[in-house]
Amino acid sequence: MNLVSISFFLGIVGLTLIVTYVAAKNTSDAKDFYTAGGGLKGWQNGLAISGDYLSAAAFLGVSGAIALSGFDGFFFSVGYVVANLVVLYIIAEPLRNLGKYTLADMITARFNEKKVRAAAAISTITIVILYMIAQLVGAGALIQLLFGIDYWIAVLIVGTMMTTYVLFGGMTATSWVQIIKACLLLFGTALMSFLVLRQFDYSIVTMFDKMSTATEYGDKFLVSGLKYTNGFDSISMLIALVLGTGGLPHILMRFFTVKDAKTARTSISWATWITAIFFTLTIFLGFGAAAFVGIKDILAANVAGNTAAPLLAEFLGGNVLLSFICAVAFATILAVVSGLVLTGASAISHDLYGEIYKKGVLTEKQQVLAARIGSISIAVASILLALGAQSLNVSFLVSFAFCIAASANLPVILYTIYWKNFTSTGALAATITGLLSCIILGAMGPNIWSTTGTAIFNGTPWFPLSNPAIITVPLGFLAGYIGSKLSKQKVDLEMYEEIQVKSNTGVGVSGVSH
Amino acid sequence: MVNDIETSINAPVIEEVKTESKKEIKEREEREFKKFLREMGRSKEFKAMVKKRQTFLFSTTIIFLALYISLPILTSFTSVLDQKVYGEITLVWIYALSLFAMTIILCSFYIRQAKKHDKRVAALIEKYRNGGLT
Repeated sequence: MNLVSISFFLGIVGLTLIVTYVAAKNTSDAKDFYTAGGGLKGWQNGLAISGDYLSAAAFLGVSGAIALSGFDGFFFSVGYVVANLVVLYIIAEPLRNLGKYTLADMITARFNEKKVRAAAAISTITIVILYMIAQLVGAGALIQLLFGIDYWIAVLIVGTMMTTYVLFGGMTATSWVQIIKACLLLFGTALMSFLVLRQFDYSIVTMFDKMSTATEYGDKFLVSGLKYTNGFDSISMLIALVLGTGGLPHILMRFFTVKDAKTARTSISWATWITAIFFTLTIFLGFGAAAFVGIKDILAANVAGNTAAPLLAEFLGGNVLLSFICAVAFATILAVVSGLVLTGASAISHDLYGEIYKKGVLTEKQQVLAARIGSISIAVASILLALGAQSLNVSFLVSFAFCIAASANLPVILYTIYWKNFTSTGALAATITGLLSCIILGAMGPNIWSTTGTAIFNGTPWFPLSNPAIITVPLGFLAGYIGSKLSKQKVDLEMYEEIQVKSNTGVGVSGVSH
Repeated sequence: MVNDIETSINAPVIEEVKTESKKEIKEREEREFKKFLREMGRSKEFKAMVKKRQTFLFSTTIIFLALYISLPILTSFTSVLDQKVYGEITLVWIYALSLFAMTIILCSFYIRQAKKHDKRVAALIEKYRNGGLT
C-alpha cells in the first residue's frame, strides 16, 4: 500500500462515515430504519437500485468474464439490463402499493397467515446469506490481493464497516452509500472506457478488428462459445438472471423507500439508463483487459478474472487510477453488503420476530431495537460463514441466489398480484418447492461435484447444469398452481378484488375519506 | 382534488367531528376504505381498466422475454449470430446491444402508458366519489 491508495481508501471511508453520521440523526423509527422514511426521490432511489445491480460481481466479475471468454462474459450484462424491464412491467408498482417493509408484507397483504410470512422470510434470509457470503468472500480476496492484508482481516474490516452503516444510519445511510458508490463507479468506468478507446484510435471498428487477433482465441473471442459449451447452461443462466432480479429481496426492498408507485417507476427509469450505460462500458473494460493486460496475466492474478479491471486500470493510468478503482471496488462491496444486512434484518426482526413471534404488537422503540439486533446477528452470521468459505466459487453463489429468487420468490409475487385462484397453500408450495429444488439440484450439480478437482467433492455431477433455473423456475410456478388447485381452501374473491384495487390504484386508507 | 372536497365539507361539521374519538375516526376511515375497495373492485369500469392494462403489460413482457431468450438459444444451437456484419463486429454484439436499446425504449414506453393509467385511475376515483360506478 502506498500513500495514494491509502488516501483514496480513507477518503471513501470518511465520506461514508459522514453520511452515516448525518443519517443517524434522522433515523428514529422503524420506517426510517427499513425504508429511509419512504422519502427518497426517484433519481436517488434509481441510483441506489443501479448501485445494487452494480455489485462487485458485476463490476469485477463481468469485466473479468468478458476479458477471459469474450462474448460469453457479456451474457451477464444483457441479463442485468433486461431484468430492469421485468421489474418495471410486472413487479415494481404493485409491490410498492401492497407492501410495507418486506416481500413477506406484500404477500401477507393477501394471505394473512403466519406460515406464508415465515416461508417468504426464510427464502429471503437464504438468498441474503448466500449473496452476502459471495460478496464477502469476493471482498476478502480482492482486498487481500490489492492491499496485501490477510483474508480474515479483510473480511472483518468489511464486516465492521457494513454493520456500522446499517446499525446507525439504517436505510438512509445504506442508500446514500449506494448512491455515492454508483456515481464513483460510473465515473471510474467511463474514464477507463475512454482511455481504452483512445488506445484503439477512438474507433470501435478498430477495437473489434484488433480484438479478433489480440487473444489466443482469435475471432472466436468475438462470438459465443468460449465459456458455455452445453447450450442449456447459458439459457438456464440467463433465465435465472432476468427473472431472479425481480425476486431478489434487497432489490425489492428498495421500492419501499419511495413515497408512491409513480416514484417507484421513475426510480427504475433511472436505474435502466444507468445500468444500460454501465454494462455497455463493460465491453471496453473486458476488451481492454484482454488486449493490454493479457489473458495469461489476468489468470495468474486471479483464476476467475476478478482482478482484470484493476489490472487494466494500472495499465491505463498507473498507480493513481489503480488506487482509485480499487477504492471504488471497495466502496461497491461495502454498499451492496450493507443493503443485504438491512434486508436480512428486515426478514428476521420485522417478519419473524415482530409479526410472527410478537404478533405485530411492538412499540416503535422495540421495533428499532429488534431491527438493530437483527442487523448484528445477520452480519455476524455471514462474517463467520464467509471466514470459512474462502475457497468457494463466488460467481456460483451469486448465480445460485438469483436462481432461488427466480424459483421461490417470483412465482409467489406474480401469483399474489395477478392470479385470482391463488391460495395460501399454493404460496407455501411454490416457495418451498422453488427453494428446495434449487438447493437439491444445485447440490447435485457440477459446482459441488467434479472429476477434475475443481469442486468440493470428487465425482461425476448428477445434474449437468451449473445453474438449475431452467428446471426450478417452471417447478416453482407449477407448484404454486397445483398447490392452489388441490387445496380445499375457498378462494377469497373479495380479498383478491381488494388487492387488485390496491395494486392498481395505490390508494391507501387516508386517500378515500371525504 | 381530494383536499378541496374535504375542506369544503369539513368546515361546517367540525363540531361533530370533535365528538368522534380518535379510535372512532380510525374505524370510520377503515370502514370507508373497505367500502371503497369493495365497490371499486366490483365495478365494471375498474375491471375493464385492469384487464386492458394487464393485457398490455403481459403481452409486452412476453415479447421482450422472447426476444431476450432467443439470444442464448441462437448462440447455443445455431451459428447465425456468428457472422460478421461490419469489420470484425459480429451479429451477436449487435443483437445483444439491440436488447439494450429495446430495454430503454420499452422503459420510456411504459412510463408514458403509466401516466395515462394514472389519469384513468384518478377519473375512476372521482366517479366513485360522485357515486357513478356501475
